[in-house]
Amino acid sequence: MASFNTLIAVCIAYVAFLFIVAFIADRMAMHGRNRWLQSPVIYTLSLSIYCTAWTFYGAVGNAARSGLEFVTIYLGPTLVMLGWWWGLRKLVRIGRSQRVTSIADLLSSRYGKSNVLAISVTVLAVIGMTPYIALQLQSINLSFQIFAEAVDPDADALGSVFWISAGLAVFAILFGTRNLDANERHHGVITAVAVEAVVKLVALLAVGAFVVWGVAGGIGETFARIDASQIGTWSTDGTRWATLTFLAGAAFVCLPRMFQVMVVENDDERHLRTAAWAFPLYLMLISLFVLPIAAIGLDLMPDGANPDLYVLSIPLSQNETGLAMLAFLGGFSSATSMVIVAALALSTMVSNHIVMPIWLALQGDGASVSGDVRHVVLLARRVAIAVIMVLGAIYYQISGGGAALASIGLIAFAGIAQILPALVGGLYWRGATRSGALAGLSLGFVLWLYTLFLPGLGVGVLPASVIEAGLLGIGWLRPQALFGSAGLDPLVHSVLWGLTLNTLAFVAVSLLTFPSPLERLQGAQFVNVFNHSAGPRGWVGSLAQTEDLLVMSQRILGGNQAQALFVREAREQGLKGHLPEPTPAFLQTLERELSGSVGSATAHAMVGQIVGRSSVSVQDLMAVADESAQILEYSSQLEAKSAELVRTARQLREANEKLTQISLQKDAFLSQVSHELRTPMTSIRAFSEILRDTDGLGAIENTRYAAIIHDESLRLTRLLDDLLDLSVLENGQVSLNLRDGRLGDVLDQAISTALTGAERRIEVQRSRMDETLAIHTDLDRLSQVFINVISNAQKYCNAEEPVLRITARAVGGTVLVDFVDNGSGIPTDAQKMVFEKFARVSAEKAGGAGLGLAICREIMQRLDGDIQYLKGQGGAAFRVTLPCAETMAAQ
Amino acid sequence: MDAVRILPVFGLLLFTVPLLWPTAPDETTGTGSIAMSVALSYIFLAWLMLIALALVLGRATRGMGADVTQSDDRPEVRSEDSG
Repeated sequence: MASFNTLIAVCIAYVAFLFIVAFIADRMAMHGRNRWLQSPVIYTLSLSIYCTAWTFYGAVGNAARSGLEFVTIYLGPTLVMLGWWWGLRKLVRIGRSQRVTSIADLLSSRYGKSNVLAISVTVLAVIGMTPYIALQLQSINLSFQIFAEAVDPDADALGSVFWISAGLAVFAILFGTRNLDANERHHGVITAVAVEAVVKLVALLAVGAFVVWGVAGGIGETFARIDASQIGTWSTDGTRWATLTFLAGAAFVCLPRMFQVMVVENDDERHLRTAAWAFPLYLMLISLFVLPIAAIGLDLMPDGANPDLYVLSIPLSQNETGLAMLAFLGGFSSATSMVIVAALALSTMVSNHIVMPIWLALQGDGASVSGDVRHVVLLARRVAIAVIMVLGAIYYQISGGGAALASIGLIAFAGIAQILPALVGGLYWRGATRSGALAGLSLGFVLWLYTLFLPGLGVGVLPASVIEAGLLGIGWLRPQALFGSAGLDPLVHSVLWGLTLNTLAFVAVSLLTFPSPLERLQGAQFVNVFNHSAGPRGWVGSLAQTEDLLVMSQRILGGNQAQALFVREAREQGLKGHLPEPTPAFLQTLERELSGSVGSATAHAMVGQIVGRSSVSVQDLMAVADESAQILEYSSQLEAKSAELVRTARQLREANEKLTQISLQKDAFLSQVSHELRTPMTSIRAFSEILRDTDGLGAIENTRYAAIIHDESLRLTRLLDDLLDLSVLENGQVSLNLRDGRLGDVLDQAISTALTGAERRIEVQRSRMDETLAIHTDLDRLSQVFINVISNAQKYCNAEEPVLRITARAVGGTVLVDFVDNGSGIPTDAQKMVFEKFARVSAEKAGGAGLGLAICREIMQRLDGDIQYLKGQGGAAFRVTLPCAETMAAQ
Repeated sequence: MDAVRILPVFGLLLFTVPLLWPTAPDETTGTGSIAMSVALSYIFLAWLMLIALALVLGRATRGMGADVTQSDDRPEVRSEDSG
């Protein structure tokens, strides 16, 4: 039997070893050589803090009492890990993108950065974890006792518990709160925890192997002895089996320390893929020998022996002191790693969600006061760890340390599982609200206290009369038979009522209340985390002072780190100095960095103190809060678009009609042009043949035929000239010969040219008084236009006595010249087309190629004027518009 | 990918089988209750099978869900080194 002092020495040596491991890991992380520290193996091993002293000692005790029931505690987490794709992946992604520091922080962040919720979860977690920590104390105490029995059979239980808890508190403080990590990641602690995970697995496997092959003598014999023992048949109650599996799965996600290692300390999401099979494997290995140890222990040990300690007492009874020592170290590892991480997680929550907000409130406008707040945070965490340990010791003392380990652990599980509805609702349901989460959480918490926690403390806290007859004597309120549901297992009863009513209250209140804009933003961020991992736009930066922000950040992050952050941000914004502009993006980055140290609610409040502006912009409100407005806006946009489409369609239809007409015109013209070309060509050819082939033609005939050929050639030349003229005008290659002149002179010239050689001259009515207008333009081109219009009238006017009236006047800066005849005019359907190329009003009177008016329009446009057809003038009427001569007008 | 999703459901089914086992010998039909060694073997074999499936499926789906991001604080570690 090892002496008590040896035991103490081994413990201290082991702790020193862990310290060295943690120290080296921290140094490696600091120097960037953390590839190995961030491996999936370390991650998986760190998850094993799920297996506490409760597993190490309590599982065997549980197996000895109720057979295979213990395995449910590991089946639940196995299923959760197997379903990593559904749940944990999302949780980890959110934890990383929102820089969540604890489960309380996660819920607070999801429900609009609510501090009330964070405090509630923290209180729940602290109270729920108290029995759990008491459990670790108890197990260490018991294991000490079993070694110490030889030395001092009447060991002072109170004294040893005090020393154990004091030692663990110091251990946790030294380990976990040496520095304030910006990301709340503790590589040293996690590595030490991983080492402890290996130690406890090896220890339990060693004891198991010893029992199976050393004591029982092989697998077959072990099975035979199991079947022969008092736990030899399947006797697990179905409801307990299902409830415990569910409860273990829920607690696996909700336990603060599990959240710490699983989400906060996670370096890489892909580690989950490995942990999905590796962690279930770890759980399976650790529970592999539990039942054999229990069965052999029942067989081997005297009746009074505590089955919780078979892992230790079997090797001791076989005088295997070394193995017993290894087992002791395994149990010690389980307890210490759990206590350290749990204390870390809880103290982070307490300092971030309870101490810091209060401290900030007491400081008044504290956020902008200079000075380092990190010592406040660290002190708060250290005190929190001490208080948590004291609470655990008190619980242990009150509960008398008598209850079996497993039942204490289950009480803690049931308490912490009350977080589950708010957590799951927050991750998957955008409609979940802060009030709903608070209502569900409070109701579940109260029910858990009333139905499980207080009765678990034993008689004294809750009077026996209440347990027997119900609160105020109302039978329906009996703590272990609510609403008359007697006969259920107390744990099943508590979980059933607690979680059912919790969920109901959560859903009902969420449906009845309306989330705030920030809640909606965060809800969308959480539920759709895979769609957009960016944070909500938070701050309106105009009021923030970067200096103030730097002062505040230095106090929380430390001088060097804060300055490094600011310089990096300034560089990203393209600024040269070390102070970035307080853009919303920068403020949001800063808030996340700060929330890594003090939690999201506090960080939000601190940045808010300096920025001083509410964090939700009008755009956010419009976009998120008022979805119906969006729909309305969208539909009105649709209506506008559809009206526009109708307009466009009409325009297209008109354009199409015009195009079709033009195409027809062109076809007609082409045949016209070929005809026009063909007629002169035919006669030229015919007469030239006559000249060539006919002998004896007289001189008169020769001259006549040559004249015809000449005329026809002229006609062809005119046609080609017109075409060339038009194409030159259209291409803008024409050079204008701008001169000053009088309108009347141009008209005189045009009329005489146009009417020369006409058989029946049209009568032209003019008012020479009006035609004294001065013009500055290309007079030849203008004359060409007039000639065209006048000869058209001469050609097409079908009145008995054709009259063309020409009027001129100046309106504003333009000269208007109207040509109106007394014929029948141009038909309405042809009016649109007269200025198009190749347009001809009637085929029979074809004189030209239909290019005249098209050329006119081109010319007038070149001269900054226009030519239009006037409707309703009694006959064909054209208006020529051209600008007044500015120089003349000025005179 | 779908196999990864369905795996927890399959595991749940496997682990609810024990609910169907009788907890006490049935006098009328004469069938005895399940021996603990049998129960133990069933649970652990089922467990092992699930672990193996998770391992195989995890390997098979590696690289899928490419939205998985790298650790976002490595640059910070480097910047601390340099500064």
